[in-house]
Amino acid sequence: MLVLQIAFRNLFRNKSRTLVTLFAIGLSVATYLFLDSFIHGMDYQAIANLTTFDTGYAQILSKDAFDNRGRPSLEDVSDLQAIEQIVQEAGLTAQVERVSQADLIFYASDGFNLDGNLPLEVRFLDAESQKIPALKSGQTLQQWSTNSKEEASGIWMSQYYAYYLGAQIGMPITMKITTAYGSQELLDGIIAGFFETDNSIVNQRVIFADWQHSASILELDTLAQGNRLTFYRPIPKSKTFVLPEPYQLYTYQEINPEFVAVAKFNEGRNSIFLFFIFFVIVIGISNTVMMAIYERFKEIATLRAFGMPNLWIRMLFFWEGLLLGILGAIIGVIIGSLINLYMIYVGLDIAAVVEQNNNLGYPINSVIRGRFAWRPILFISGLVVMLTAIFSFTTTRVALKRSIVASLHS
Amino acid sequence: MMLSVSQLHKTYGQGEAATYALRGIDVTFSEKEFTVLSGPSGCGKSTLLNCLGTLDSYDQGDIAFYDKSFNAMRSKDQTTFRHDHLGFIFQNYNLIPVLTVYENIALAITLKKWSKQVIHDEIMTLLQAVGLEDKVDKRPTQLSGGQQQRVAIARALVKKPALILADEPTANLDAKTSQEILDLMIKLNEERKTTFIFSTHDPMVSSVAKRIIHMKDGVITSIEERS
Repeated sequence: MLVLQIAFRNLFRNKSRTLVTLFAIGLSVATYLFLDSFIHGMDYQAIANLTTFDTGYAQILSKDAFDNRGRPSLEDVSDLQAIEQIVQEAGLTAQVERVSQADLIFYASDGFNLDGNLPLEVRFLDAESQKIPALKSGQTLQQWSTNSKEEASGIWMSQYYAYYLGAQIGMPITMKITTAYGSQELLDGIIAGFFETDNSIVNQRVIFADWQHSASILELDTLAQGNRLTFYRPIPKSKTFVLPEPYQLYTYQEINPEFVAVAKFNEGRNSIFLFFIFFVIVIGISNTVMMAIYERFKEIATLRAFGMPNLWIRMLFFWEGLLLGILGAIIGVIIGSLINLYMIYVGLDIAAVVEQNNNLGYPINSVIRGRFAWRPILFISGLVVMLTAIFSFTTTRVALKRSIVASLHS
Repeated sequence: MMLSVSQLHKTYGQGEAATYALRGIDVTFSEKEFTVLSGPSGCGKSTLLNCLGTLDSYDQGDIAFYDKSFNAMRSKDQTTFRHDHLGFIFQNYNLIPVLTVYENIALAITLKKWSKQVIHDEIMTLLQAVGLEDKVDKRPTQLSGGQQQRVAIARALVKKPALILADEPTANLDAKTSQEILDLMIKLNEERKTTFIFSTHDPMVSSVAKRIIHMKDGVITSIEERS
């Protein structure tokens, strides 16, 4: 087809201009793919952090505990075994968790870098048998201990605090626990081990303590601040169970409305990116198309003189725009995919930003890894190709409105 | 009568700045003519040529092609008329630079429903007639001015138009090349019976014309017939 031949060859009529335009289009596409991968990576990581440790996919809580999340609840799940049995009879597995808010107190005289206290969440569990999904390979605390004789009276903290506090195994530490009744109890112990995890929630907000030891010393069995059952795997829709009052099953979205709000914002983020992409593409190609048309007023007039219909001439520029868009999209996808590969396998280290800004209010890690998806590639490529083709088609009107004689003499 | 022009008026601008390019032109053209519109610059010969080719509009009067009035034609009809019945030869050749010689000629008939073989045969016949059969794959930038004008002539003729309008076709050529081009057009006029109407103030072109229409200040001053 002669019109395609003309369109293709016209792309290389002014190589410099075509290259600049292709670069602009390619850069826009690559930017969109990078941002999409980054945001999806953040979303995925946040959900993973929530579901592997914080709230799991769902929790069984009392209504009062749900309404007063983060504060002591007197309507806690006290009969954990009974609830656990209901869950097991439904063919599901949930982890029993006892949680309290505590102040961790440490002294420079004991070897720490400074005197101070840290408000943290302490989770009481069976150090030997209870596996923690957030830790590497879902290990137990026992597997993190280096001093097997001391772990019974110890606490486990993250490597993050080991670095900042100068903590070492064996150092004495005190937990001031606020119980469900509002009373304060002191639990003395030593640092039994440090765990390692990429989960920022675990790193900065949580310490672990062995339940049996704490319960026997402090008689905490009925005084733990928060008792719940957490599901660390999705609950199939086919599995149902009935819970006694006042207990209900809450999803992680219900427990973390802030996360849901941010996720909703993320759904709208594409509009911002699209506007940015659209703007750059329009600016990038409009100059090229307009200059090409202005340079070819005489040529277009010649075609009109020879009886070429306006639609034929418009299609000539349509194909030119389409080819420009396809080439630009290919370049952008290649660049974007290379950046994406880096994002997926290496990630973007935002530790400085995350640490200084309290995780940005979002349960993410310090290294964000990208996520690959075909959909954004197909979407942005299609959009770019469509925009350049349509823009080229419509802009030709400028030349077609001119007098043939005036254009022939231009 | 192939083309008839009656009381044609064309004005550029308005009021005191108005320029009367054509003032009541009456003239007819027959088949197989080889006619020159001659006159000094600004006499209206190019304007008349453009109006004959529906490239420009006029203010009063009418032009008819075999009794089909231009006044009754819409823009699309004019495009179709140009495609089916007209060929143009321009002073600056106006070839498409990204196309080869062969493709430039083929462009003129790309919308015709001819078979590939017929198209090929027609183009090669014309290239032989204009002496460029060995230049089929060359781009216009690889040709001399005279060669480019030959390609333009072939392009104008390939669709077998009834009428070819040539605006200063030899203006950018040297004398020798101009003569060659003129000889070629005379030959094609005789072989193909296509009407040629020129707008020129080149005396060389006027010397070979069978009819010369002299114009001055937008009017026809005289018509010179030659046998």
